[in-house]
Amino acid sequence: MKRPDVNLVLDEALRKLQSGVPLDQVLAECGEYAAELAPLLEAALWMQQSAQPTVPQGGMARSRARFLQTAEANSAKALPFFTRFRWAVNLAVILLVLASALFFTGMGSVSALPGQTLYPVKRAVEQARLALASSDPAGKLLLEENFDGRRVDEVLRLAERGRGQRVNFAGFLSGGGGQPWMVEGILLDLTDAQQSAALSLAGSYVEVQGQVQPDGRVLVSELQLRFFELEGRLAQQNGERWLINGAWVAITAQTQVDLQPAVGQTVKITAIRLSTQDFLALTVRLEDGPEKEQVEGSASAQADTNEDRTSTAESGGSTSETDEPAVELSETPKPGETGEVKETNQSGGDHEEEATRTREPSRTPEQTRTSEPTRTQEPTRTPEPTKTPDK
Amino acid sequence: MTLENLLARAKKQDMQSLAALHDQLYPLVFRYVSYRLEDEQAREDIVSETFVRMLDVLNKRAHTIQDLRAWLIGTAAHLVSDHYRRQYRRPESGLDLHEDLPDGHTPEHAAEQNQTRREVRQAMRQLTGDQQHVLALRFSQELSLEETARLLGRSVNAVKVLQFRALAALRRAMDERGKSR
Repeated sequence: MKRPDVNLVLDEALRKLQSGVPLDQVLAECGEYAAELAPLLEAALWMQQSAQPTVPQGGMARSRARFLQTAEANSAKALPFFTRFRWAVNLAVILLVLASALFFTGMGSVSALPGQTLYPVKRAVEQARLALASSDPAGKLLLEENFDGRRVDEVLRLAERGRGQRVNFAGFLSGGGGQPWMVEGILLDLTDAQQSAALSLAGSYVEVQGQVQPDGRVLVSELQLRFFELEGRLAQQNGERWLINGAWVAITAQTQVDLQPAVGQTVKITAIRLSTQDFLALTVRLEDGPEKEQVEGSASAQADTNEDRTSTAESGGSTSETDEPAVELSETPKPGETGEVKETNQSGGDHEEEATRTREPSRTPEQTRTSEPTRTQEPTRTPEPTKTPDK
Repeated sequence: MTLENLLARAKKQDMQSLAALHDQLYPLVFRYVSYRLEDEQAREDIVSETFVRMLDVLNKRAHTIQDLRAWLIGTAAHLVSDHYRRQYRRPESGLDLHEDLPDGHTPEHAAEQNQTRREVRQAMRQLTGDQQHVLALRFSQELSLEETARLLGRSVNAVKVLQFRALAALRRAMDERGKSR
């Protein structure tokens, strides 16, 4: 017969001992292993007797307190982090959605035409970009050119589709002398009175308001000269040509100059545009230097001019305030006839004449300063020499 | 509430459940440590430290209450070993200098019990780590061979042999201490 495993017998004996069976009885049941297992079972009995009878409640309470304190500290540490993390994720998602919406709406609106739903978005985005560029005059001018190009493009696309839509655009006016009147290739429908006024504006950079006709032409309701505000450091003085923000500005004898600026000083100029890179200054205001305070009065008077260039042109009646009203306005037909032509500032011939004159080397800066300083106090919209010779 | 339910709620940082879980498992760890360590203060510190460490693994490793029991015993065993290692480096704080507080009904009985306990603990320290571990598990928890094998991560046969040798070694150590006195 096979002998049982001594380890198994020991384990069985230990179990009995732990369940309270006396050692003698346990040994008696071990049979042939009793002698061998007796010392081990005695040791086991000592082990059993040396057991810690109770769990100390004080120790357990202290352990529990420390345990819970640590748990709370951990969760207090973990919670704000989690909360922050969750808020950060939420915020990031919201911003992403908003940015995507703005981006795609902005992108989608680029090709919108007047009268379409996204067109106001397109114009708003442009205004925002102009506002952001206000600290960079040269960049702002480029942006304005870019947006003017967009307006022209819109009118051309509307004309192609023959969609009658009210439009507003700007560009160089050409035509006259038997040629059709157009701005940047857009054919204009002008009344007789408007045509006569347009003669004085030919070659100038003008703003047009009107209605696109089914034949693609634009029936003009308003035609006015565009005034440009150039503000920046006078980089170079080449006789009567000043370089400001990368653009050459012609100074004529008729240009209203408060105080002669030196190279490096900041000036603010109201000008009309002769060509892409050439401007003709109407007024010049010194923006810094020791005499700044001195010219403050005239500056405020001119600010009106600079702030609202189109209203200048439109306020035909207000010209009575000026000692020397713009000649074109005197040419303006009676309100009953051609009220649409609000602005006819300088004749095209005049522009060219002025521009040519500015390039004459004989003209000196002193001559340029001949404009009367007192006039700067007057709310003059246009300088005296803009009087158009009768044609 | 069952221990499994307590564990599930404790994982959600429910303070009441955490406290209940601590109280339910405290005797398990305490009895184990008390078999291996005579110093009462060190015993309390080690048990407390074991529970603090449990907070870190509650959500990571303790999938069932069995996992948690095994982890607690394993961690307590490591902490006891660390304690002895430090003791070995600083023998001036030897265990013999410490006295347990009397917890018997009479001073005589308590003194006798303390004496036995101290001798057994000191004899146990002459055993190998595995032998101490198996005896502490077997006598503190009254675990079956199978349960002990699972906790130790060994086969039942291996635990049977280990148990036999551990008891034999303890007996020898006790006899040697008896002779030396």
